[in-house]
Amino acid sequence: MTRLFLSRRANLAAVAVLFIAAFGAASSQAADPFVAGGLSSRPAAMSSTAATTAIARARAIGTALGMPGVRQLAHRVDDAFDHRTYDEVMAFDGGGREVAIARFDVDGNPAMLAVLGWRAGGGRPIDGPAAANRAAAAVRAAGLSAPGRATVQASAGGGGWSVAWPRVVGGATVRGDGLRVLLFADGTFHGLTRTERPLAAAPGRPLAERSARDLATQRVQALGASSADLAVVAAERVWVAPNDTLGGSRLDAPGATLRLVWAVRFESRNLLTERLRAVEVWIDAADGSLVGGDVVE
Amino acid sequence: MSRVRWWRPLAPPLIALVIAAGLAGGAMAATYPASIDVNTSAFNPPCDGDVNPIVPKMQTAAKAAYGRLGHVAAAFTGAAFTRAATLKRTPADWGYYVHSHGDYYWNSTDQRRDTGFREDSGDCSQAVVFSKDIKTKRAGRQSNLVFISTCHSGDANTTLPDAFAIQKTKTTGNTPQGPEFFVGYVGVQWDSDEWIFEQRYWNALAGGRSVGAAFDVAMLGSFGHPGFDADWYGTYYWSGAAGPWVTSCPNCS
Repeated sequence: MTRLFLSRRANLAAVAVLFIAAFGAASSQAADPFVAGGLSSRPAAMSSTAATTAIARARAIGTALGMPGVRQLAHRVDDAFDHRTYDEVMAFDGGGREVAIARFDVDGNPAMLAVLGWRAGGGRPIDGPAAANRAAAAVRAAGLSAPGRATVQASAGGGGWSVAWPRVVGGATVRGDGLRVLLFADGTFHGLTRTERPLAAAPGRPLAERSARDLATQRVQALGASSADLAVVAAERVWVAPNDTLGGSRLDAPGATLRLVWAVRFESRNLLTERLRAVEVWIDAADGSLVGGDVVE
Repeated sequence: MSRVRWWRPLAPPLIALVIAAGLAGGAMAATYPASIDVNTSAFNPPCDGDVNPIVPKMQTAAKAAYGRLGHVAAAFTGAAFTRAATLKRTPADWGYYVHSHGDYYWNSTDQRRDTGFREDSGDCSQAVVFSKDIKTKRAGRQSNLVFISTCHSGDANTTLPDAFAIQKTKTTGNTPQGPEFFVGYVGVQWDSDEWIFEQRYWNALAGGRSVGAAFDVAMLGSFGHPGFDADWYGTYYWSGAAGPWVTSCPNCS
């Protein structure tokens, strides 16, 4: 047992050394914010106790979810893009091939679970309601709870279905946060992700929707677009991670703390549709400032 | 843990180290070009008054990623990314990345729709590069990693993989279809989600994941829109390293 443990420690150390040697640029970023073109994650120090605990968690959750793997290897990762530190446990089959990944937040909660590979020609395909049930069962098996009604969508890349439970705070969806489960077409578990990022304080008196629409329209028109080219089609109060789209200081990764905004959506018309389909302008629900935006090309 | 296999997890970083060392020494026996075409003009002034800095980030990230895989990567945008220039370069490209406006465009010559994407050309009148154009120029030449960062490029009926001689099959078994992998987006997607997906993908590749495993990791990002979707074709358990296989599957993890 001691020998195995030492082997694992040596292995971890070697992986860390090689990772740093191969990707020196990443190490030079140190604790700096993520810079596009560089790596977003880098190894962090992890005690042998923490590694053993993470592997035990991965084995338990893997058994509950039917995830493959006969041998596991753990390491801690700082991710500057996701603003997150997590323990990653790689699982290998008997031939040494990576077959699953389990990531845990440092508090031990699952952050991401993935069964690697593809399941073609499996069992009989299931429908959307069945997918929702299977996904809910997977969430429970992972020791998590999925409150509320799931959003079920077909997913080519997911292998069949994407079932999500968005996080909602103060009646507003937190974009990107919540639980999401990927299932293969026959309902077999493929992956799970759980995100719960910090939120800024909600404004006491949020900006009115009409004001947000006006501010967003002014912003778009100031940039040269006419109402004939871009027309408002929706405004939604949501939490978003700030970005530098439409101006502002450079943010190569989405902001770490999410803000409550009015996401005012414009759709393009006429010749503009040949280059641009839609634009969102994110207006801070507290003070009307620009928080970022998004584009569909 | 088997004593025989303890080194297996080290293989991907070792491969990356060898690639990095080779690049640093400039001593590669062969070069495998990769073109990074990025349409910035369509989504920034003067064509669009909105500033969209995500697009240059995608360009920087893709160029760096192809370089890490061992390609000689070069990025083109503005007047350097034209239909003519892309088609001229494509026969020599082993890797290809494009970010632009993609769709099923009407091909007036063939009188039918075809998958494609728009050039940049540095102005606001942007010609379409059809998949058929690429297929004709490449004439069946082997591709490595092809990442079409446009709407509809990964739809079920996309013809872009075939343009790069990548079979529209998903191979995970012991009979790989070659050192090839195609990634495209399904339907219409937002730039912020594409950026999350792409950074997760490049980062996983750099960390030694196979091209398929990196896709699975990327699919589990915190996307702002629940309808986000992408798809892939090719050899799942392949490292993504540039060039052909000299034996049956030396780069499979």
